[in-house]
Amino acid sequence: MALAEMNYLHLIALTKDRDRVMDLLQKMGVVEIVSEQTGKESARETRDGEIKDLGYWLAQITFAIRFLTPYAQDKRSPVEKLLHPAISTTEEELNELLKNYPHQDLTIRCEQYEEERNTLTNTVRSLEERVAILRKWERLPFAPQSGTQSTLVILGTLPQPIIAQAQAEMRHLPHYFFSGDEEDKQVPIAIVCKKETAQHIQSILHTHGWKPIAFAEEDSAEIPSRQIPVLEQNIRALTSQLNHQIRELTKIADELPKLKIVSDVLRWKYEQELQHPNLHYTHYTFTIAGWIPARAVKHLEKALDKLTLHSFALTTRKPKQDELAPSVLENKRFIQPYETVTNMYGAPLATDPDPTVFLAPFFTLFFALALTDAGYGIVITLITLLALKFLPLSPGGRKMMQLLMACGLATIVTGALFGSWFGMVAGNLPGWMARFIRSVQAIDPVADPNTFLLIAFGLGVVQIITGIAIKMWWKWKTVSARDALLDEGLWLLFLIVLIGYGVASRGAGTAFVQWCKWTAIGLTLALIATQGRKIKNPVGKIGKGILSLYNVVGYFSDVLSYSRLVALGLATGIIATVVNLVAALFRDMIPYVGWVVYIVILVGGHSFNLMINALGAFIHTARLHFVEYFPKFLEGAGKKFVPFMREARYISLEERE
Amino acid sequence: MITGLSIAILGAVLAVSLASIGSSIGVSIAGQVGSGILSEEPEKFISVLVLEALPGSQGIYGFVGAFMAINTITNLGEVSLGAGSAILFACLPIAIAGLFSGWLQGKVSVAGMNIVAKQPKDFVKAVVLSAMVETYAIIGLLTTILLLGKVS
Repeated sequence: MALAEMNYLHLIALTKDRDRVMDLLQKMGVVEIVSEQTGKESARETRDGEIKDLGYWLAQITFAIRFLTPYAQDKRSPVEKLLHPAISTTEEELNELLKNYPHQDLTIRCEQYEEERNTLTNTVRSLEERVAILRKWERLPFAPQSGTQSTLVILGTLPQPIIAQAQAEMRHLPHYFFSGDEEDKQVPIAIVCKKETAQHIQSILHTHGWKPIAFAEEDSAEIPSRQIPVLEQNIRALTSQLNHQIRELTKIADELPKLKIVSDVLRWKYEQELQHPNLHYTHYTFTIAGWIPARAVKHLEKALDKLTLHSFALTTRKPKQDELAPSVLENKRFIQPYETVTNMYGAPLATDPDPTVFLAPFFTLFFALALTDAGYGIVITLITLLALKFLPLSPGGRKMMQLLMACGLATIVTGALFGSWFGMVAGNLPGWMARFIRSVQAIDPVADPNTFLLIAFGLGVVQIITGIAIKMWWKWKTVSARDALLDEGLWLLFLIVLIGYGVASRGAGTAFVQWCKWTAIGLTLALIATQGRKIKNPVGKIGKGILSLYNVVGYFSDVLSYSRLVALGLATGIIATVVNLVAALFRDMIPYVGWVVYIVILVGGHSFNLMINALGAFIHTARLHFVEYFPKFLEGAGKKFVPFMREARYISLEERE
Repeated sequence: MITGLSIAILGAVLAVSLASIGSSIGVSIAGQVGSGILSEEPEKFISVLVLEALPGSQGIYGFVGAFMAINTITNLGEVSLGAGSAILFACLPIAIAGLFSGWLQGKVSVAGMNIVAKQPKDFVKAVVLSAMVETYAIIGLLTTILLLGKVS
């Protein structure tokens, strides 16, 4: 109901124990260290050098892991990889590796390898490009740069259709003409001519779309047909070097698990260093300030006692009035999965109630109504059940799966009540199935959307009234009973009477209608009189009171918003029906293999529909909570509790006591 | 010749086509921006995909509206000119609302891609912001369904 109680903590210990204390705090992960301003900045330590140094090696090792990963040969099956993605290790192995493992040498070697690899691949690529160019000139009987004192070689390409014309124009000038493969659009041309006529020839060529070409220096002095094998020989040599390197790297990649372990440990050390500037020092002691959940204090004290042999001082106090303590959600196990939704919204203010328990029943129900297909409910339940049983999920992932499982179970119920099972039409089914579906079905949403709509609006009213009631209860508890009654209490009464009036005026019961009418008018006056009570100016008092009545419009549009449940619920069933129709159409159209197509369309179509609509149901249910429900009783955004802790990217530690 | 049936069919056609146009535009602009993110950070594929897919629902709502219209046509059997026009008009809310909300939701998804790129942990907030626009397509669909229920 309420958020976990937070305490502000001061911990003083001996400087000689500092690193071990920091290790312990990080391992326990129960304290969010803050920087306390004392005015004595000289008593801090900046540790810029260490941070820079560790940061550098962390970046290096991250690079090495990235570089080596493509070469790693993980012999495990994909299923096994999925089931056990983390490297399991022990505290002893961690310390051993950190002390003795030559990760720095390894990362430097990786860096060298990368440089070498880049040079090699670049060289090979440029050689291949040169070969590709030379191939076009393969039949050239002389070296590209073989002009003499009086002759010149002009090299380039001409568009294929123009060659004959260009040649005709040059006929009166003495020259030797070579043309390469005429299959190309741009045909390689070599012309040997006297130096005097060169300019004339070039000007003719340029009028015909001539593109001069320049060979690499090494290639110009040799006949192309002789140069090509030389280059190819080079390429082969370099490629074999590259292959050799890949074999080497594959061997080094076996070290990846160890590198990954070290990288996680280095990251923890790095995080520790980042916290160091928040500590204060005297000659022999250091002080840590921070936030800790009250329930963890005893535990921390005990651990510190063991670690420092009683030489520490720990004091805690409740947060002061103007301090914003970080928020920790604290719920019964049954409710915990719904913390996922609260966390998506953001942490509530430390002084607000924890909305998780209040959203749980509504969230499940609304999701179920927005999906409304018992078949899909069964699928979601089964998938989440399997995931929970077999997948190694993070705590967050577990919660998400449990949340979805609860929603899936609820969807089975709503789907059965609405008579939707994979969108099947009861009339087309064998008798016993149709009888079963009809016997549990309460309403037919497609034939009677109005009832569904009324249900949705009804639930909207219930949720909004609940929201206001929570606010009243909380205000009563934390501010004053008077304010709770005058604000939320009056509004609650007013809304309930209004709804009573609305419902009763459609039917009979005139006395009740009259009563509702006059009570509503009385409550309106009461609201005008009370809502501006905090304002001194009498005109402003009444003005604020009248303005507050505008909230009715807000509540009204809030309730209308719940109609989305109907549209989403109907859409799921209708699309499911269409999938069945289309699949049956193909089954009857295609001879012999129609059944295969039928099954493919059914599986594909329903998977798609389930995914799209489950996503939609989740998002819109979340939205109803974030936009319509939470603002009724949550004041604002708080700060999430971010404890100083070990966050592992690759490893899972085996606990050994 | 213009009959009640052909007018009713026009309604179904508009519901699917306009809403699908809205979705196509929305999904396409979101997809273009999403590819930009994926070129740098391919591991964000799922987040980008979800955000891109959001404006796609309008097309589906249009289809649901059209299906309801076809249902109504089938139930009527003989569609008079009056009933046909009624079906056409009843289809307009999802057609028009779908067109614009799909398009504009795409723009919000594009903006949300920024959140995916810079603050991946707040991904859900981008999704909720984008889903706000979808509300109006849902209201359109609901109106279409309720109106079609009244055609007789």
